[in-house]
Amino acid sequence: MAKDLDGNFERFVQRYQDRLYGFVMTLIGNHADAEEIAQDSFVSAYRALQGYETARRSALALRPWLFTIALNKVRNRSRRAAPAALDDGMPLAVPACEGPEARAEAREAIAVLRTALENLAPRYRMPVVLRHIQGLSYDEIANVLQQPVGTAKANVHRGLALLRCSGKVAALV
Amino acid sequence: MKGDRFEESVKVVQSMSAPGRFLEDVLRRCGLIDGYAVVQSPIGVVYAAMGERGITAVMEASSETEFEGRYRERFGRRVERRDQLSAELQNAMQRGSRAKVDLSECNPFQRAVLEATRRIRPGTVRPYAWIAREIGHPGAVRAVGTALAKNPVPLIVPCHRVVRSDGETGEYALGADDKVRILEHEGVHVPELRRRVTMHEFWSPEGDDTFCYPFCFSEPQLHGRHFRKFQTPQEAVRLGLTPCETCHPPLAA
Repeated sequence: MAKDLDGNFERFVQRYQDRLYGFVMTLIGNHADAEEIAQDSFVSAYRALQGYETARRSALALRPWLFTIALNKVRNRSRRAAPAALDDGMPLAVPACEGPEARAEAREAIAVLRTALENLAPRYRMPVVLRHIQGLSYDEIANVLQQPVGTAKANVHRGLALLRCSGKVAALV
Repeated sequence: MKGDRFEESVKVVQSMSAPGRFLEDVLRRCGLIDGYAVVQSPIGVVYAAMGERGITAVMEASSETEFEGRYRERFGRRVERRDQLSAELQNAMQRGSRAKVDLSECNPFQRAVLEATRRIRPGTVRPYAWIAREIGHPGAVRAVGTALAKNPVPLIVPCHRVVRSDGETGEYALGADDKVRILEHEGVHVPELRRRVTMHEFWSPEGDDTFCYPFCFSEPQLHGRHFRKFQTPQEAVRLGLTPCETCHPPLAA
């Protein structure tokens, strides 16, 4: 990708599209918006990479960088959108290409996750999503959230503990 | 168990996939999928494709699938049929040398050959050796032939107008027979070429103050005109004639 952006970008999208889409979907909860943000993230990544020198591309940790782009887009969107959109009974759309059962399952799963995650303080929410839903390493999480690795690690553990123990979460989940 | 339900939900979300058209949509928005249309040409229907930087390919193929496959193999890029490009691509086929082409896949030598080829006007031809001289590599006549055989945009970059120095039409990216058909379509009298494709004779129309290679003239320009003919450029120069700015004959042999 560093040497031949156009030749390798397709593989890059193929490799990360599901995870990035899932990530945004978990944060946004709406299929159309999640798809748009995930797509926008890849397009922004491509445009940025076009402008980078080969050396800078090689030095880039692509996965956390991509998630950072998506995260910024989600934040910008949330800032613009009415806060109520995030926690009332907003309808959850799931990909139309999947069968009705898979759709119902995905819808429920996202509802469960979102309800649980929304009860977490923001500083724990994102590290938990990145670590346990997206499978990023602690180094990568620290990179995305721009904090020390130790902080990222502590926040993941603390977030998870809160998620499991909180009576409030337990009542909801 | 509450914790289990959370873990299960995580698994479902982890196994979620992006919508089916996601990849294509992203690539299209990044300009990484070229478009093509089926267009008419003097040798029948051909496939013409273009990207953001201009026309990328003109090919013959027996089906869309075959074209798409060969395109991807040759250029390493996806291509999809876009009927809204039909008019633009058809227009480009007519405009030929003035259409915008993308030669970024070609090396600098090939590009120089193709750029020189674009300057050949319809109805006229040039020998391979002329192109070689024009691009400053007079010894690279065979390499010129190879570069033209790999022309990604035949018909638009008119490689069919480059012929052998003995007047034979020679090879062609889309087939030797088609080369003759296209030249005839452009009004070239192919059997006459043997007489006119030489770089050892110089012609000057009666009353004109320039001299040319004999292949600089199209068929209509030959009709009813008289030419003074010279074996060396020096003879023409001695009469005060100057070299033609289109075919660039030398001042001295």
